[in-house]
Order: sequence, then structure tokens, then C-alpha cells
Amino acid sequence: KTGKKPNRGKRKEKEASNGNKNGEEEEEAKMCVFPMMRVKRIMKSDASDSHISQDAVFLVNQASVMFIQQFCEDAYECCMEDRKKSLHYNHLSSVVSKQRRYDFLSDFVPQKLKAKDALAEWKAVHGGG
Amino acid sequence: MEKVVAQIEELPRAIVRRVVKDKLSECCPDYDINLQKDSLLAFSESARIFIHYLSATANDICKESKRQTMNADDVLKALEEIEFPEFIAPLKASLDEFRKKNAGKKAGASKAKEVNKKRKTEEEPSKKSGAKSKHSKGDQNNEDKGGAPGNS
Repeated sequence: KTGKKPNRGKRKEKEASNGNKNGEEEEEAKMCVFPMMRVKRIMKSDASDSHISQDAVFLVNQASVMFIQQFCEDAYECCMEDRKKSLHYNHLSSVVSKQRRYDFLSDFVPQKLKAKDALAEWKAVHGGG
Repeated sequence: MEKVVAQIEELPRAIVRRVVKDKLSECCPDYDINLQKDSLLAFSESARIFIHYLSATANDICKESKRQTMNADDVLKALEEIEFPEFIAPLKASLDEFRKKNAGKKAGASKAKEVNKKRKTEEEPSKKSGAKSKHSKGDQNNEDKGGAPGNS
């Protein structure tokens, strides 16, 4: 937390000191939020045999940011229902389990279970079978 | 080795944190919402999985139409397919902006050489215009001087 604030201050100073050049860079940073090479590398691992246009990488980059924002908004609502002042992991996992379009995350953001409950479930399944 | 590969494929945590923090302060401007460490990790991982999911879907669409290069339309169609259609309109707008900027950059790069050539030719007219301005100033001075004796 404390590391973030001075950074912001520095950025503003830089902007003020060399106006136009930094303004352009800042705009560029806003447009491509994640490093394009990083996004491209992640995409390449799915589509190694085909080429990917720069436009497509840009769109996926932007879409991933919008996805984080959407996911955050949904988790925030869950957090409000819970009347908590901090965003917990279980807020995210309950969004994933409740909304159908987040199904693709179900293996990566699973709901946490207590060892007791998990054991009971396992016994119920395997005991019966 | 595995660890290194994993790190390369991860999204920068600081950027994910900023996006989430900005969104949270937008949702709730009254007070700061704490972001737990494992929540941030989950956001970062989810975004990475989202990129995989989206690009894999776009790649399928691309292959169906028997093209070799995945383009913007493939990604937009893929977004509809994975049930995030509300992203399409704002993305189209920012894509237009991105294309304009890239077009400007390319034009700028190719023109850079021409600009160097032009500089030499431009220097001469600028000298002439400088000379002209001096003349005009001189004219004004003359007029002032000419006016002064008339007044006296």
C-alpha cells in the first residue's frame, strides 16, 4: 500500500515536467494495459500453428482488462451482500459458481472446502460406489 | 525451468492490482475496500485463463473459416461465443483508436527520411520570410520616423 502512493506522485511530477512526450507515453500505456508481448505469448501457447494479427492481440489485451473489471464488479456485489469491507477469495469463487459464463474458471477458482466437508463428500461418493 | 516458464506466462501483478483497485474505488467511493492477497492472485490467474479461453475460441473460429491469421473479427466473434458480448461495442471503439494511432506511427516512420530531405529545402524559405519580416519592421520604423517630423 505504502509503495503505491509515492509512485503515483512521481508519475505526476514527470508528466508536469516534460509535458507532451510523457503525455503520449501515458496515453499509450492506457491503451495497451498489459505488455503486448506477454499477451501474445499467452495467446501463442493456444494457437502456435497460426499467426495472430496485432489487432487481435490488442483486442484480447483490452478484453482481459474489461474482464477483470467485470469480475471485480460482480465480486464486489457479493462482498456487499456479505457485508464485508474487504474482498475475499470466497467472493470470487462464489461468483464463479453462481454465474454460468464464469464456468470456464471453475477449475482454477474453486470454492474452498473445509477438510471435514471434503472428506465427508468423498466418503459419501466413494462409500456409496 | 517450469517456474520460469510459469512466470513468463503470468500477467504483471501490479497492473492487475491497479485495475482491480481502480474498479473497487469506482464501485465504492466512500471507503477503501481491502484487497486480500489470495483475491489478487485469483484475479490475475482468472485473467490469464480468460486470455487462453478467448484466444482458443478465436483460433477455432479462424480455423473454421480456413484462414491462417487470427484477426480482430475472430476475437470479436469469440467474445460473443463465450458470453461476454457487452465487451464488443467498447472494444470496437478502442480498436478504431488503436488503428488510427498505428497508421499515424507508420506514416511518421516512413516520412522521417523525407522530413530530413525537406529540412534543407525548408531552410531557404524560412530565411526569406525572416528577411521579409525584418523589412516590414524597417518599413514600420520608417513610417514612425516619417510621421514624427510631420507631427512636430
